[in-house]
Amino acid sequence: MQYTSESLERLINEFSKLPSIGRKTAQRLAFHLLKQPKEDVLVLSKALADIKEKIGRCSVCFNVTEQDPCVLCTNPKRDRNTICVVEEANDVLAIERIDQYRGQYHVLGGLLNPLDGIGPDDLKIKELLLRLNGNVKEVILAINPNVSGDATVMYIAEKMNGIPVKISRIARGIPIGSDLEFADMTTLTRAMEGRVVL
Amino acid sequence: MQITQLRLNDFRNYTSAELSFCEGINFIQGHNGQGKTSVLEAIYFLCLSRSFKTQDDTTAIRFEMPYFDIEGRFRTSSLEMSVRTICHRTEGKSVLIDKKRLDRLSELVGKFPSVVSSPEDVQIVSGSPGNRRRWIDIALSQMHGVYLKDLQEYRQALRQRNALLNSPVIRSDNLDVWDKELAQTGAKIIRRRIDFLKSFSGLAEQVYRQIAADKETVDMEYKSSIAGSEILSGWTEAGSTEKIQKIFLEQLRFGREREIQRKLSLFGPHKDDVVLLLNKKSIRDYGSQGQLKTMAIALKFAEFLYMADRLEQKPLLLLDDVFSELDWDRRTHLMNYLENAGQVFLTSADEGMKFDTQKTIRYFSVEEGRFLEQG
Ligand SMILES: [Zn+2]
Repeated sequence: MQYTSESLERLINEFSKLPSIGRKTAQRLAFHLLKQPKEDVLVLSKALADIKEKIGRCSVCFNVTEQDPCVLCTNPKRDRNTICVVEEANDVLAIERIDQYRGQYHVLGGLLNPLDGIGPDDLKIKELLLRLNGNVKEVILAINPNVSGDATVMYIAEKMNGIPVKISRIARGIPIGSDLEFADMTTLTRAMEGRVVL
Repeated sequence: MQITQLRLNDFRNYTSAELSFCEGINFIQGHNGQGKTSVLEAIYFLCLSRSFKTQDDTTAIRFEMPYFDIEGRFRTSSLEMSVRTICHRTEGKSVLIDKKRLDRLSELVGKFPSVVSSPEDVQIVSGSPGNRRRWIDIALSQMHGVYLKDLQEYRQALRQRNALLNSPVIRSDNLDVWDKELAQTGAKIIRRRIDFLKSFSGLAEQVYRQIAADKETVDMEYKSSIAGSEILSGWTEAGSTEKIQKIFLEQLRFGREREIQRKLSLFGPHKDDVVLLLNKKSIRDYGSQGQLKTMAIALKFAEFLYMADRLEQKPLLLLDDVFSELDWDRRTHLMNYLENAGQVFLTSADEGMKFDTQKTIRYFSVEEGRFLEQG
């Protein structure tokens, strides 16, 4: 197959590298953009550039942010007594979406996974333990119920042994093997309510 | 449950074939190498998305073809559905139920229970421990969906732990949690296997005695790698999954140095074995050829009875060349079981074989991958 424009071919190639985008969808997206007004396409390209230029990690909770500490960590209306621990930043979005939790977050940046070479030092576990000073009363582990998730939960629970902070895990309402990210809102709400103390 | 129709494309030596079966006994006659076993293999494939002849699925694809495509219509008391399995040489296999593709092949297991008895089964009795583990795992997975789920979790934990043991730096607090994860998932597997053997061995003895027409005793013992050479069945009377987990963890602590040296998980259900005893002696070590064969058949018929008793539907019974090597008396004893079975598929090279049965029966003969139905 031969393209008549090298720029178009490059764009299609870039699109098809994205998750869940095949060659056909990549082509459709590229031709769609080609038809849009120039200003709209520039807005998109700026948005793309900004995620790398402006977005960093919050030095407290390790969520993605444009200011450090992030708006969730600095919001005075949010409860400082609880920290909800999640695997990735998109899990924060999933929990915020149900609009029920009002505490703080902590993003681990992954789960224990020796097959991918990820050990305790590759996760923000030490940083979590450092946050457990006088204010924090409960740590909620909102971690997916799979083998890696279980091992990570066990590891954190082990490290928190002796620290006078309540530790709980959200209920296994989430279907096994599915991700927090894809859980529907009712399921996630029920899971948050039905958390079990470890 | 029964399978009413079967379509084969590029499966073994079948270019294309369609068959309809009766609800009773389907007898498939043919000389060796003509393709009678392949029919059973295809049915088994539709039920479990695996073969009983080989571990390499692609060997079932017809010579030089890119994939096989097989489909069956299944009927239970309440519904009818089609199962289609496509297996590519390079892209793996997919299963469609009523044209809808399954996300995971494991969703299929247990939907269409089946038991196969074939000459290869003698490996379960006399072969390496892996054969016995596979047999027990498939049987339990068909009966308890949760067993398969636990088994998959255990295998994941095992892969992760092996990766850690293989890594250049092993933090002991990291290995600790993978020990716990392995013990937690593994204890459930061990517990289920022991419970199964406890209720199953009596049935196996009963069937063995009937086929052999003799008063031999059959016992089964679970020999676990987490207990050194100790036999586990004894301490489960008092034991719970938690207790097995505790013993498992002790073994891991005790054997840690050795596992780190070998860079491999050496203890757990993936290393366990079942000792089959005939008259209190290991049949694998002391059994005659005839006893090994009888035991192999008895295990499968007992498995069938066990499953039929515990499931709402009778499993399909696939008997590959089972009668050929048995004498007349043993055949007659086996035939009695068929009267109470559901749908049965039976192959034989014996042309003159006729059945005296209350069940409906349909005869097929097969020659070079083609069928001739004989009323
Ligand atoms: Zn923050």
